[in-house]
Amino acid sequence: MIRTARAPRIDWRAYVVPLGCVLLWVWAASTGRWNPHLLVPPQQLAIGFAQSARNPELWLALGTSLARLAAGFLLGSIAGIAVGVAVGCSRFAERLITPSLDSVRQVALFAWIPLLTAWFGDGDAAKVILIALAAFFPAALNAQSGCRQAPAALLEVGRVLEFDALTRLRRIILPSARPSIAAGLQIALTSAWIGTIGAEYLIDQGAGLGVFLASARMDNRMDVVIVCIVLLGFTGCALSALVRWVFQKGAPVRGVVLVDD
Amino acid sequence: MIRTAPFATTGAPAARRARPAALRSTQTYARLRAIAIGAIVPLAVLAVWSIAVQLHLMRSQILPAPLTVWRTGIELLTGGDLASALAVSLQRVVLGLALGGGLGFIAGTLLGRSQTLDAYFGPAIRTVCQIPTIAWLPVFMLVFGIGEELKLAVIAKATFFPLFLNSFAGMRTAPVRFHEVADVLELNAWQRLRLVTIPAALPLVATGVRLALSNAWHVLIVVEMLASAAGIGHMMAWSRTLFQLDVVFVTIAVIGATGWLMDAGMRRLERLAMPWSAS
Repeated sequence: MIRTARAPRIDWRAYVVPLGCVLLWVWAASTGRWNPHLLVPPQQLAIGFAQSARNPELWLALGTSLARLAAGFLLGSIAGIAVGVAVGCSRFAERLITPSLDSVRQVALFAWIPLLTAWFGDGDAAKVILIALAAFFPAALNAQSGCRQAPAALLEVGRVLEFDALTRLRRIILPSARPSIAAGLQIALTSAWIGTIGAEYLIDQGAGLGVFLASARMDNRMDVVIVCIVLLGFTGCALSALVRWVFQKGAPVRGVVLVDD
Repeated sequence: MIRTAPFATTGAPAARRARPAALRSTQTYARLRAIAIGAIVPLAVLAVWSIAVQLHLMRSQILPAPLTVWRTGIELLTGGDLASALAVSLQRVVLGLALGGGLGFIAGTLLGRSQTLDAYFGPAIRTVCQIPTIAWLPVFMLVFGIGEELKLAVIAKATFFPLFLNSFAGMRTAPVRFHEVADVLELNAWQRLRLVTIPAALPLVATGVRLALSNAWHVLIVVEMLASAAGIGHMMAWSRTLFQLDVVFVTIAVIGATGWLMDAGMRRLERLAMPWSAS
């Protein structure tokens, strides 16, 4: 089914269902038949938002999480790109590392938490390593597939010009891998953000948005829980927009993108 | 968590089977060589691990000897503890997939068939599904408590979207030319469904199931670590609390192996049941 391209037009039909849900929510809350702790009335949610916006603890928690994210993301993505480029450029490196990486990748990310906390304690080290692990694989996979995509013609030119390995990497392989690497970093950042919240939520020690969320749940404060989720959703969107913006000059972002939880 | 397609390995094309014996023996050699090179890293890790244990670099509580882990693994496997924990977890996955994946399939198929339904419901569904399952967890825990309903709800959420997206794409994927052929052959609605629509959609639905299984497995481990009295994730978290790191090692391996087996099994099934599928 080929649809002709036309200017994007806002389709009012998209808003019917969300609006209906909101109306249903307002009505259901006003009857008072359901537990207001679970079915938060609109006015209370508004109060929750207003209170949270003025709550320095929430912003501090967000800051802590972002700092942790930055540390883990840098660590994981740099290691990931390095390994990905090595594996993408060298047959031997691929044979050496790929089977092990593939095995490690099979383990669900958060299943590493018990081991990491036993080794590194409940502090920042375990969390940062988990975040790095979350960022590592998307960065590595996309860097690898990017290096593979270096055009054969260019590689041939490099051979004719007798480029050494480093020049070949710098002048031919990395430029052609750039869009893939950018896509990988974008996925890695989203993955690392989920890893951050999950690690904080599961380890539940120290500060951070995940810890804040966990304590809001313990206190039975659905309004605060919703505020936290909205905040982490927006932060995630803002972060991916940031990466897109940084790499805007590059070619359109393509890559192995299979987002899941 | 975000997962990506597997590392590309140097796969052997099917055409190689036809080659003469001499070549085949060099291929056997090449394969053995690949296995040997691939085993270097795991063996090195094992060596470092053994040395670290021998030199008592870490407390044995935190770093059990490789042999201890191996024995514990055998013990758990033969003793049935692991099997019963795994059975609980897998049952949850299957039930959650049946509920969430089933709903996702129905919604995806309906919205894929009808542009109108898609215009009304599509944007809302896609927006809600953008929020990762992990973030939903606190809400679900407040609403459903920490019982079996929680696990069902979380897995249903994790499996809904992959099946929704893929069945949706499956409905819209049959090339226009196929429908034109169907027009020329004057197929009736039933024949068209059987010969064009279903064969085109099925591989995508299978991919959806595969992604859903992997999603479900990942979030289930988290839920079981947080709030459960049974299952493989609980077993792992509990042995961590008791500082039985050997059991933790074994459960990590089992979690990885189970995830891999589900994925490989689905791929195999896809190839057998749908030889026309491209993936």
